[in-house]
Amino acid sequence: MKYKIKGKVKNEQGNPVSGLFVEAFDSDLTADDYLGSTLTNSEGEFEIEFDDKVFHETFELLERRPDVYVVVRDAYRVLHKTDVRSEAKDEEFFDIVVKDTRPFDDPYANSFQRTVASFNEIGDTVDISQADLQRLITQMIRGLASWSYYTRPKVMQSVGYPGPQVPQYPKRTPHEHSLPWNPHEHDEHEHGEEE
Amino acid sequence: MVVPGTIFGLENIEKRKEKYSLVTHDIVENADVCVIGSGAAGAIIACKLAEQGRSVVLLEKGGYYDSEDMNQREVDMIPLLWKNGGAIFSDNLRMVIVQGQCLGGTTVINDAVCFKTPPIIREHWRSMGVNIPDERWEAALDEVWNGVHVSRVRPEELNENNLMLKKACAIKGYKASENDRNSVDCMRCGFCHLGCHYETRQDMLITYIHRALQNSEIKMYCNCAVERISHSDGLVDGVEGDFIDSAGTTKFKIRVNAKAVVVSAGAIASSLLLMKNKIALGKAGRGLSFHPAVHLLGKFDQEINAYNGIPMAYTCHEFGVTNGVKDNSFLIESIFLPIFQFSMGLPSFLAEHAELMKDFTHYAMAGVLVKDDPNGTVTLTETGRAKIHHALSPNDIKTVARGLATLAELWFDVGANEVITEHADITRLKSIDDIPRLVHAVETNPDALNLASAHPQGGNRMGDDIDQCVVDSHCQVHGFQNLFVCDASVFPTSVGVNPQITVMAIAAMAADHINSVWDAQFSGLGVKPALGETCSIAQPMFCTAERLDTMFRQSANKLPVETLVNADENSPPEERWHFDKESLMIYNNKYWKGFFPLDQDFTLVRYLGGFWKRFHKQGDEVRGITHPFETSIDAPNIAELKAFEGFGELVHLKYTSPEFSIFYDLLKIVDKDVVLGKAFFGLPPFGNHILDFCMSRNYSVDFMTEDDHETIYQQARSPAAGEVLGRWTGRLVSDSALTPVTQVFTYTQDNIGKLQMEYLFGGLLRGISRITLTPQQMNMYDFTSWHDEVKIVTSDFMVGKWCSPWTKISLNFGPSFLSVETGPDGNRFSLRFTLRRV
Ligand SMILES: Cc1cc2nc3c(=O)[nH]c(=O)nc-3n(C[C@H](O)[C@H](O)[C@H](O)COP(=O)(O)OP(=O)(O)OC[C@H]3O[C@@H](n4cnc5c(N)ncnc54)[C@H](O)[C@@H]3O)c2cc1C
Repeated sequence: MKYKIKGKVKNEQGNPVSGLFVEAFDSDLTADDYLGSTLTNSEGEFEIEFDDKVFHETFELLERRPDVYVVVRDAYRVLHKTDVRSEAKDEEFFDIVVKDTRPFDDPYANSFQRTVASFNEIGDTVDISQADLQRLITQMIRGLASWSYYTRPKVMQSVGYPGPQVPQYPKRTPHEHSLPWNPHEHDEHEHGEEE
Repeated sequence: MVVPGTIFGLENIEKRKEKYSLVTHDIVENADVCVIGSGAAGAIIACKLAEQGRSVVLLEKGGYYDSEDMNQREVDMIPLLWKNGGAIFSDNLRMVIVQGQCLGGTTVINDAVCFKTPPIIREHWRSMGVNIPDERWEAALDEVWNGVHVSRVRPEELNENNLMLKKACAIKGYKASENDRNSVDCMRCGFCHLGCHYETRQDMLITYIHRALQNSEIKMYCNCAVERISHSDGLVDGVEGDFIDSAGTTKFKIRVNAKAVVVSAGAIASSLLLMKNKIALGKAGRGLSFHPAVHLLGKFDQEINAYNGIPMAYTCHEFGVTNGVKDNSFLIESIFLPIFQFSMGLPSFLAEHAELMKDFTHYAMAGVLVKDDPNGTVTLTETGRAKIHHALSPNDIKTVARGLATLAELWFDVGANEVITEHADITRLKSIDDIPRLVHAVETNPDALNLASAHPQGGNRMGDDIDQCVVDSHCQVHGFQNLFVCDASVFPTSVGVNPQITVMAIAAMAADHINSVWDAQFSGLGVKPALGETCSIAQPMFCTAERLDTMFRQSANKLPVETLVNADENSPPEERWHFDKESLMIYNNKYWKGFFPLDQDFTLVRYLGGFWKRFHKQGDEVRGITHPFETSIDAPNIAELKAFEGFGELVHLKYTSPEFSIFYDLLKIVDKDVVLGKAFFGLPPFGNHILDFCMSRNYSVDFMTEDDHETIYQQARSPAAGEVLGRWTGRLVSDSALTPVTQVFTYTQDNIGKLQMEYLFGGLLRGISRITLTPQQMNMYDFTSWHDEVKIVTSDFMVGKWCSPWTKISLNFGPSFLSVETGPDGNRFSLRFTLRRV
């Protein structure tokens, strides 16, 4: 007897996705049986037809209906795998939403490690024998001290520097685009001084 | 309106301002133009070409960060926006060089100061063979001036820091003025060097890059470092690069086939790229200048709060090219730095440093921008990096001393109680009377000055003289039909003012030129659809396991099982094996060489493993053997086309002898010379998948087998001394997958013409080899009892062996990657390698 698996693939915005590779399987105890494959059309739709002969193994005693599921891939990887539908009806319809499941990257992650790695990158571009070692060491100590000390808000403020005006994660934290000083007032003040 | 252009990159950052897409695989692009670098020059060229209908692919090494990613924190922004996290030094570590590395290039971290190319500089460059008449300069300068919305800083926008300089210049009667800046409604936050959070600086990101994305189908690939420009006979056919993630791992590859290529990677990087690709050798990398900057802090009783407001808003022109001064010219520009950079610049450490930092709000700061002589060089190191050599010329030293003296006097004039210098011998001046001591210190010990350069220029000089210059007045590389270099690297000398507008103007002119001759000179050039080292069905040996798996599932078996049959002894030799010197490709139909995925986890397989399969027709059947290299196993099998559960129709390779019958392979013949495969252990159809592989009759010399090596070695000849000079990178020959580069050989000739070679093995082991040339081959000896024998195949490719001494002992015990050779003197081990010229 014949079965039909139909479906429609959309992205998270609800738009149909065409050209995806769809494979249908029958879930089985030993190994899952392949039922067929196709590509989604311009409306994101697909249709796979198969015969029960494909999944009835020679040593299977009971007549049974297939337990179907569908795998959707793009050209590079699996995008979605549906749940198994036991005892499939003659025609099954799958509404599939594929999403870019990759979590957002933190642009500032590991900034310290990355800075240290930059120093490795100097590699053979410098010739230590030409350098003034004592000065070099002084500079390195100053560099490290500055990096670890004067980038801390408390320390900055202790020398009278207010520091950044926006939150560390501006995209996550609502914030205003205004400055701690009032530019307008500032202008007038300066004007006065000039005259 | 839907934005047609797209930015691509590796990082998945939320809420992108421009249309953005993730790169998740290798890429091949065919385009009219490929632009390398998205800075002041690259962005403008790409935009102007794309707006005139060229299909443009732009490749940028840095990432894409928009204004809302710029959080004003040095710890976060420096690693994102600055080239190599700010750690770029001249070879003697005396000068630090800052450049941007992100979409938009250095324009994203610069101070927005704008100067049109001064007339005396244009005149001087013309005398050096730059054929750009003033009308063209003016038109281009006006165009970019408008393009980046330049306007004059209003006097009321000056903060106390800039005002101090203004007052001082007024006292002396020096010519000075507010700066022009490419900024609209500047918020005066003071964080220019860390990207503009408020989107007021009109950098490339929000001007030309935005424009190009709106108006064309441009593709901009970020996180993509270009390594290779492929060319022959003065014709460039493409560009290859690596997508590298923030941890430094190469994730994917790109190949762009293009009719014209524009290198706009910025000074230093552009020269490096040319040298790496053997373009303009002997000329690229010379004549760099840096505008080495030295700063002086004036300490005042009152608060200056220099951090608060536009850092660079005022300039003293009196001694500069902007005032018509030709020789020993310098500008004095006000500047201030975010606190970490400020702290780095102080000439002290520990207790004294803390004491100086205490007065942070009481300093006024300005710098001397020295128009230096073009004496710097960039050379290519063994590891492919740029080594920058710079020393102040006697002339430069005079200018620096004079500039510092002038500035120190200015600070004292407006009431500074102390002046802090960056000269190690004299860090603090108490009064005007100390100035001669500073001048003396600079003149007698210039090396003790801390120098910083934000304006590297030159290295690929523009001009008519083809012996001295890399590009002509249109930025076209001499001797190349379709290669351009356009950025600060083409400056014949330093420009004497902040360079961005000059860079932009040169880019606008180059773009206009390319557009105007496009139909006549470029549109007809055929783009060869080369694949580089990208993964695809045509060259699956460059693919990862996941990609091979997906390709296997999505491809149908396309050809009959007979396609598998290999040539036999009776076939003409050309059909069995041949080697194309031109493309360095091997065609091997003696058997099918197997390849593992690039990311196969067990490293040893690369050197030890690998296999081949050979097929023949026997009656109606296709039968074969699978032979793991380095073993004596020949596993017989039979190949049948059939429908296979889980995979559809494909070739089932069944092992017929009992000891291997527990294995089977599934193959898909996807091309007459390419087979994709999966190996299983168990009983079909329920075997356990062991691995993915592929097989191809065509592969590059980087994948050659030991057999191939021997054949090519036999046909090669002994090199002449002149042919080997230069640097070569070597790979060990393995029978399985691509092996990494393991050694670097540099050949030089001493003054009596004797060749010698310096080797670097695995990045660690370093030494010198003696060389002898015999009619048979070149021999190289180091301190060990083993020696190398090398022959040349083409001017850029050699093959060699590292050989043990001959011995009478039979050597059948060694590790299998050492092949054993037998000759009249007995046996020896040899480790085979290939060398490519870099
Ligand atoms: C802190 C600072 C402040 C400055 N302030 C001013 C100023 O106020 N006024 C002024 O006129 N000038 C200023 N400049 C200088 C000015 O910004 C530069 O001279 C100008 O941007 C140079 O343009 P470019 O196109 O030559 O190179 P860049 O703008 O540096 O662009 C080159 C791009 O190429 C990319 N690249 C490099 N190698 C590769 C590769 N292999 N593959 C792919 N991409 C690659 C880089 O990542 C970079 O994005 C400043 C510079 C700095 C560092």
